[in-house]
Amino acid sequence: MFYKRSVNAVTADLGDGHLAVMGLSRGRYYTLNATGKVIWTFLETPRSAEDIEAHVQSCFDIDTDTCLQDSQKFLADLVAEGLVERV
Amino acid sequence: MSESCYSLYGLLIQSPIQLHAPVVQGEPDLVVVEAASQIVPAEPAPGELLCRLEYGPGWGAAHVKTPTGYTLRYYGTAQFELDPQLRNATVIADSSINPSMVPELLLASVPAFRLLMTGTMVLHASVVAAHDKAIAFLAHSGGGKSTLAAAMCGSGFAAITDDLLVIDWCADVPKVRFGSGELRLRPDSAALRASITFGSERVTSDGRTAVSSALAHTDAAPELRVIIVPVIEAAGVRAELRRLAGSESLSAVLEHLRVSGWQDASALRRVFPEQVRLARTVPVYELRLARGPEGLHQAVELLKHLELRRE
Repeated sequence: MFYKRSVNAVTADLGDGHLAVMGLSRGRYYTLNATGKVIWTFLETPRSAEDIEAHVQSCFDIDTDTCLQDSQKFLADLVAEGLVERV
Repeated sequence: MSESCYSLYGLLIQSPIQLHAPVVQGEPDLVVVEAASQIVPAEPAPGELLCRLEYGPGWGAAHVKTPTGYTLRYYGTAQFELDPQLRNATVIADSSINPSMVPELLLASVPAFRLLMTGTMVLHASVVAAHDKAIAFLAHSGGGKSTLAAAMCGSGFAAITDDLLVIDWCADVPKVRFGSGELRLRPDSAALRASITFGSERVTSDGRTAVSSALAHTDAAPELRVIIVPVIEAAGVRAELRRLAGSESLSAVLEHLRVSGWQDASALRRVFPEQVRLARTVPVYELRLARGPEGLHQAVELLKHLELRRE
């Protein structure tokens, strides 16, 4: 299973380390922190959960268990909000 | 009845209904005609829902796309039917409402819809200016934007627009489009109105008092230098300003689109880049102030001394 960005999400770099993501289908927006921004940027092409976790670990000093839990939670939130789709 | 052409937020609106807005000559962008009044139901018209906002039973508004254009329905108040090109509007006032709210809707809600549908960002704000430098007060209904704008009129500022903020970008400089030049104050504004000399005062059809500043602004569109987001607190709080960070600034701008309850993705996609651009260009401050005359006085003193230099 892969994750991909929804076509109904638009983004803007806020210049303060955060990324704004607007979910057009619900008219709601979200601010992503540095970790979220790394994952969102990595999702420029569809990625597996394993690829995403490995990428986060390569970018941040974080242990495997924490990375796994946080990444899965974040991806689940993105899917629930309609910003990312499972394909 | 003779029809005049009014200038509002860069639009020329030809209307048989008198609007308190500058009368101009020119080719209208929107031509309004009246149809017979009827009962306007408290539910969306049939069609593809673009926007829906309901505050309570029988109180709300919904805009839909129909095979023949768009229907803007303000429950129990009025309905506007626009053609697909958004150039003609037929207004149907609710037959149970007297006096009609139609002029107030034509001054703000209908232009806001038309502008948003054509890809123009429209924010919920009131704006004053002095020496071609403008301050916008960004807030939802009842959030204090018109009151703060009116209070600034007692300190050398002129009213530019109430309720709607529309920007024209001249290179990287955000210029504010002129609204009616009136600020619409709630009935509890008597003390404020007594403390400031305004150019004019009148009672609107929805029971507010519309005031214009004693000072008129020049014909040149002022540059938006600062955005203020008021936060009204209980009495006893000292007024203070806090500069918002990038993400907070964008949040403020995104949360104050003039047409609330918007559900149509295409319009949001069109205006999002401009919202980001504004939040990155113009400093946004949170203004905490106490409710009442003393809080207002403290806020005006802070804002008078706010540097309106471009960064």
